[in-house]
Amino acid sequence: MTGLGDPVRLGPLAARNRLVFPAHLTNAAVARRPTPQHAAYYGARAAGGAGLVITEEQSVDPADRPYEKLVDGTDPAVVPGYRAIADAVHAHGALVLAQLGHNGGQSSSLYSRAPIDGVDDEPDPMFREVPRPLSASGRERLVAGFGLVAAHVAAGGLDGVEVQCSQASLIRQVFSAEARVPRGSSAALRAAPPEALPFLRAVLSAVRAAVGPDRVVGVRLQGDEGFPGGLSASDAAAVAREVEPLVDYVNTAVGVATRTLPLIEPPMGVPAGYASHVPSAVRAAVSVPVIGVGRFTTPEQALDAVRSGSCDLVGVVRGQIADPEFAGKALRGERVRRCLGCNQECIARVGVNQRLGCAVNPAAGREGVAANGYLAASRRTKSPFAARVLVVGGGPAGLAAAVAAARDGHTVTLAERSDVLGGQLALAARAPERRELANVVADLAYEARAAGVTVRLRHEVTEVAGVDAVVLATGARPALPGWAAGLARVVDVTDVLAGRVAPSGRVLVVDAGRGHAATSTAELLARRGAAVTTVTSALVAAGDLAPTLDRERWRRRAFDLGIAELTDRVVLAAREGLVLDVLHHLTGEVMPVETDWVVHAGPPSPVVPSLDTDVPVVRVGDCVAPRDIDAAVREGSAAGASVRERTSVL
Amino acid sequence: MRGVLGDPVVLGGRTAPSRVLFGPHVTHLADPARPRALSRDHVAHYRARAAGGAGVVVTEVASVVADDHPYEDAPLAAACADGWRDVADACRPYGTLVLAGLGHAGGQGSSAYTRGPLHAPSPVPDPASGEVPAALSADGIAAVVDGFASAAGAAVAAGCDGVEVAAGQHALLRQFLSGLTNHRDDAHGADRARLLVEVLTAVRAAAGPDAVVGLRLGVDELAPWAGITPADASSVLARVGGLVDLVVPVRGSALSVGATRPDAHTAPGFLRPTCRSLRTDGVATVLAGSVVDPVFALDVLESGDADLVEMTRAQLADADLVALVRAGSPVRPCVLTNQQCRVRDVRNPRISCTVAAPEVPERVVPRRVDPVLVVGAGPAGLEGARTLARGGCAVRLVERDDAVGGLLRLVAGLPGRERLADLVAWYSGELAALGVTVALGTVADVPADGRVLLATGGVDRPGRGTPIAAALRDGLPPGAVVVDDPLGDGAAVALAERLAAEGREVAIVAPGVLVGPGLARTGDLVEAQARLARAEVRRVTEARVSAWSGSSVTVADVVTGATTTLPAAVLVDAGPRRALADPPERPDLHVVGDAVAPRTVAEAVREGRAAARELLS
Repeated sequence: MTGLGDPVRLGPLAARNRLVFPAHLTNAAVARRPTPQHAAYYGARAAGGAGLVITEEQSVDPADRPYEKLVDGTDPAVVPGYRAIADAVHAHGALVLAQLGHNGGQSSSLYSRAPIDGVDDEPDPMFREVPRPLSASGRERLVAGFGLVAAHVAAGGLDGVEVQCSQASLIRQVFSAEARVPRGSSAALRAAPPEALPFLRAVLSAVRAAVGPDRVVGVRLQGDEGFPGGLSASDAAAVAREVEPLVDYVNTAVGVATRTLPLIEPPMGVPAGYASHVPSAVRAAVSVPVIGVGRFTTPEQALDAVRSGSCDLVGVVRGQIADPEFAGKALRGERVRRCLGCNQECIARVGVNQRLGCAVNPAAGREGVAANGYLAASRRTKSPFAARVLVVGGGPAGLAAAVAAARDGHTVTLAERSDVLGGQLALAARAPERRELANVVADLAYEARAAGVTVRLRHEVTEVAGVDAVVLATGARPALPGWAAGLARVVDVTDVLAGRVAPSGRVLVVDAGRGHAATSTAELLARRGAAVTTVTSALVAAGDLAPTLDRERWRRRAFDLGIAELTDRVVLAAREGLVLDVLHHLTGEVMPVETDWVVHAGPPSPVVPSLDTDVPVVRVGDCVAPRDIDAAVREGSAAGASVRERTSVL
Repeated sequence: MRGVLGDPVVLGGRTAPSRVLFGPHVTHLADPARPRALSRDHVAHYRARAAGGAGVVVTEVASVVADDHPYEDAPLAAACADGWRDVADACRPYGTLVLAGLGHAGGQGSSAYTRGPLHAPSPVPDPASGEVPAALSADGIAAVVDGFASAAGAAVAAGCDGVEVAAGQHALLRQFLSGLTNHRDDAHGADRARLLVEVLTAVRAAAGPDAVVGLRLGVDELAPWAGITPADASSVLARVGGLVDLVVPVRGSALSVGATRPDAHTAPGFLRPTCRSLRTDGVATVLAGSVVDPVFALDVLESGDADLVEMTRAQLADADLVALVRAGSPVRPCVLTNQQCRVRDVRNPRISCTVAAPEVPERVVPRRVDPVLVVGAGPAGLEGARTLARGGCAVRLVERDDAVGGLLRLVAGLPGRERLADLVAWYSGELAALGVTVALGTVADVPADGRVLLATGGVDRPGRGTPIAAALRDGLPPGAVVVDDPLGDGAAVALAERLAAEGREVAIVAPGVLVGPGLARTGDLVEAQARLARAEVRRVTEARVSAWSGSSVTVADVVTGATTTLPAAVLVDAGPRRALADPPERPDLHVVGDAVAPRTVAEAVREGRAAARELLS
C-alpha cells in the first residue's frame, strides 16, 4: 500500500515523498518580482518535509495583471528571485516547480490600463470587464510567453514548471467555452471558440522545449468548474489522456477563481476529500502521477487520500501554511497544529491585496522577516535562564504565550478562571459549522502540556508573587448596548452559546459586528425551532462571511432554516414586550418590531485586571483590543518568545 | 475680474502665487521598493500642478508615527524628508507654496500592515473595517504630539513652506474632537479639543514662526446627535486660530466617508455657507468640497466667502487650470465621477482622471502632413481629434449622429452624470478653436489607405429585454420596469433613479450582495442605496433574471435558486455592449475605445489620446 513517505517519480526527477505544497497566491511579490520572502516561505515548507513545492502563478504576459502583486515571469529580472527560491527549497531536499499561467478574461485593466484578453467578449462574473477576444496571433504570442517564462524558470535553477489550465486561466477558459458551445451550434451567437487542445499542446510543447528533458513539466487541469454546463471531472480526464505524452504529472483542481471560489478554498465545515472525484477520474485515465487536493488538514486525511487510490500525491496548502512542518510530522506520525478553515488570514487577506497570513501560525507569510519572535522562538537556542512566567487567561492568546515561553525554556504557569480552556473561542465553537474553531484550542493546549506548562483551571489570579514575568491574556467580556438595560430577554450571544439562556419563539439577532457570532447563533437557535430574524445596520448582513467564502454556505443554510434578514436597520430603543424601535437609516423611517427575545452580537469590552506587581507585565489579545484569533495567537506567541528580553535585566 | 483666482495671497509670512490649493490625496504613486516614501512620480504629480499655477500644494498625508499605517503605501513622515525636499525643489521655481500633509488615521487606519491594534480615542469600531481599536494611552498621546512636532520640523528643514495638519476625514485628531468616537473619561475626553491644541502648539513651535501652518478641520460630521457640528468647529477655531495660518474646513465622519469628496450627486460648493460662517481673523479660510468650476471659484473669492479655494480634482483634470484661467482659456472640466481619482482602495490603483489622459508633451512637430480621418465623435474620437489637431495635423472628424458626444450625450441625461455634457461642450469648443472639420450626420467610408482613427463605439448586444443604451436613446414604453444589472457599474442605478422619478415601479436585479457595487470606487455606493430606498426602487440582490413574460420577470436567487416574480412591462438589459466586429487591420488605422471593448470614458479618452500620439509620431 502506498504511503505518504514513498518517493514518486515525476518524469526525469523524483520527489522524496507524496506531500505537495501546491500553487497559491501569497502577495509577497514586490514590483512584480519574486522576493526573499518567497524563498523563505517555500523554504520553510521544504524544511518542514514537503516533497514537492509549486510556486504561485508566474504570468506569461506583462499585460496580464488581475491583481497587483502577480509576478511577471517574462521580465528577465525574475531569474535571481527564482534562483533564491530554488536554493531555499533544494537546501532541504524538496523539488520546486514554478506555476505558469495567464488569467485571460478573469482579469482587470486596473493596472495594465489596456483591454483584457479573453476567449470571447463575455465579462467575467467577478471582474465584470468586457474582454477583447484573443486572436490566433495573440495566442501564438502567449505560447511564446509560456516558453520565455519557462526558460527563466530553468535559468533560475527550479526543477520545472506546472502549466495552469484551471482556476484562473485563459487556457481553461478556452476549454470551458468549447464545452459550453458545441462546435457549429451557436456560431452566430459568439465568435467560434478557438481550438483548446491544440493551444494547450502548443503551450506544453513550448515549455518543454524551454526547460529541456531534465526538468519536470506538469499541467494543472480543471475538473469540476462548479456550475451547470461547466467542465467536469470527465473533461479533465479526457484532456489528461490527450496531453499525457507531453507531461510528467497531472495536477487537478475544482472551482473557478472568479465564479465558484468557495470550491477552491472551502471554508470550515467542508469535509476533507470533497474534490477527490477529480483526481480519481484523471488517475483512471492516465499512468503519469496525479496530484489530488481537497481540504486535507490533518496527516490522517492526507494519508487516506493516497491510500484510497484517489491520487498519487496529495496537495496540502492551508495545512502547510498553518504548520510548516506538516509533512515531516505526517511522516513521523506526529500531531500538527491544524488549519481551521477559518480563511480569515489567508484567503480573506490575499483577496484584498494583503500579504498572506494564518490565524494559527503567526509566522506564516513572514518567514523572511528577521525579527520574527515566533520563528525565533522555535529556531534559536533556548533562553539562557529560566524565568518564572505567569500567564493569566487560557484563551488562544494565553495559550500561545504559554507555549512560546515554555518552549523557550521558561517555567510557565497558566491560570484560567473558568473550568475550560479556550475563552471566547471555546464558546464560538459550540455553534453549528464552527466546531473546528475548537481545534486551535485543543492543539495549543496539547502543545502547552507537551512543553511543560502547568495549567490551573478555576484559578482566579488576584495577586502576583513568586514570578518573574506576567502575561495578561484576560480577554474581553460581552457588552450589551445601552438600550438593553433592564430587559431580561435581551441577551448576548455568549449567553446563548454558554447555555445560560435558551431563547425560543420569535428571536431577533442583532448583529453589531460583522463576523460569525450573529449568524452562527442565529443558526443554532433556528435549528432549535426558533423563528429567527437577523438585523444589522450594515448594507450587507455578516459582511465578514463573504471574504472568508462562508457566505454562500451560510445563505443556503439560512434559507433552509427560514432565517429572515433585515439590513440597514439600527435599533434605537427597546421596551418590555419586547418591542424595539428600529430605524431604517436609508430612509429615516422608524418602525416597531415585536419579538420574544433579542440576542445581541457586538464587540466586547477588554478586561484588564489591576495587578499590583513590580515584574514586567505584557498584555496580549482581546484585553488590548477585542479582535480575531490571529491577533490573539500572534501577540501571545510574541509575548511568550520575548520573556527573556523582558526579564533579562533582572 | 478673472485675476482674483490667479492673484497672490499672503499666508503667514509667505506669498502663494494664486488662490488655488491642490489638496492632499491618496495617489498610490509610491515606488514599491520604498512604499512609505514620496517617489519621483509624486514629485512630477505636484510639479505639474505648480507649473500650472497652483498657489499651494499639500502633499499626500504622511503618518506621524510608524504604527499608523492606514494603507499599504501610505507615506510615513520619518521616510519622507527626501521626498519633501524634492517636491519643494520642484515647485519652488513656480513660487508655489508646498505644505507637507501630516496626519494619523487613528481608528480609520488598518492593522493589516503593522499587525498591531489600531489606536483611537476610544474603543469604537470603525464602520468601514469593523475593527475595535485600542484606546490611546497617555504615552501614546504624547507620542502622537511628538510625532506631529518632529515631522513638522523635518518638513520645514527639508524646504517645505510649512505643513497641513490633518483633522478632517480619516484623522485621529478629528476622532478626538468628535463625540462619536471620543468617549474618554480623562482630560482628553473632558476637553475633546485638547489634543488638537497640543498638536498645533507643538507643530507651531517645531515649524517656527515663519512657516505656514495649515489645518484641515472636520467641521460637520453630518451626525448632529454626537458628531462635530459647525458650531463646535467654530469654538475650536477660536482656540486654535492663533496657531494656524490657514484652515480648510471639510465635512464627513467615519459614517459618511463619501461625503467629504462626493461625486456629482452633491452640488459643488456645498460647504460655502459653512466656510463663510467660520471665517476667523488672521486665518485664511479655504473653501473645499467639489469646487471644480473656475467661474464658481471666482464668485466665492469675490464674495469673500473664502480666501482660497481647494480645487484638487479640477487640477487632476487639468493641471494647467490656473494658467488657463489667467489666459482666459477654457479648462478641461472635472466631471466629478470620482471613478479614477478616488483611490483609497486596497488594490492600490494609481491615481488618474476620467477625462484626462496622463500628461504628455503637446505640440509635437508632425512628421506627416496628410490629414487624419477620425470616425466617431464619442470621447475616444473627440480626444483623438483634439490631440491630432494640437499636434499640428489636419483632422476630419466624421460622426453618424447629428451631434458630437456619442454615449456621453445619453449618459449625461442620467442623474449625477449631467456634468458629462460639460465635457462634450468643452471638446466642441476645443475642436472649433483648433479648426477641426466636423461632419455630422455622415456615415464614413473607411478608406483603404491613409491615416484613420476608428472610434465608432460599441453596439448593443442582442439579449433579453431592451439594451440600456437603447433605453436611454429611445425611451421606454410605459409600465413597471425591471433593470437587469450584471455589471453593477452605476448606469443601471442611475437609470432606475430616473425611471422612479418618472413615477414608475422599478426594480434592479443584481448578482452580487449590493446593486451598483462599482460605485464603491466613486464613494457613492452607500448614498446610492439610500437614494434607491427613498425612491422605493426595489433592490433584488444575489439574483439573476431567469425569465420574462412580457408582463413579469422571474428572478432566481444565485445561491438558493428560490424564485421571485416582479411586475415588468419592460425589462432593461444593463449588461455589456459589444465591440466592433472584425475591425480592419492595417498599420495606420487605429481602433480605440468601445470599438475595441466596451468600457468607460476613461479608457476612451486614454486610448484616443494614445492612438493620436502614435499617428503623430
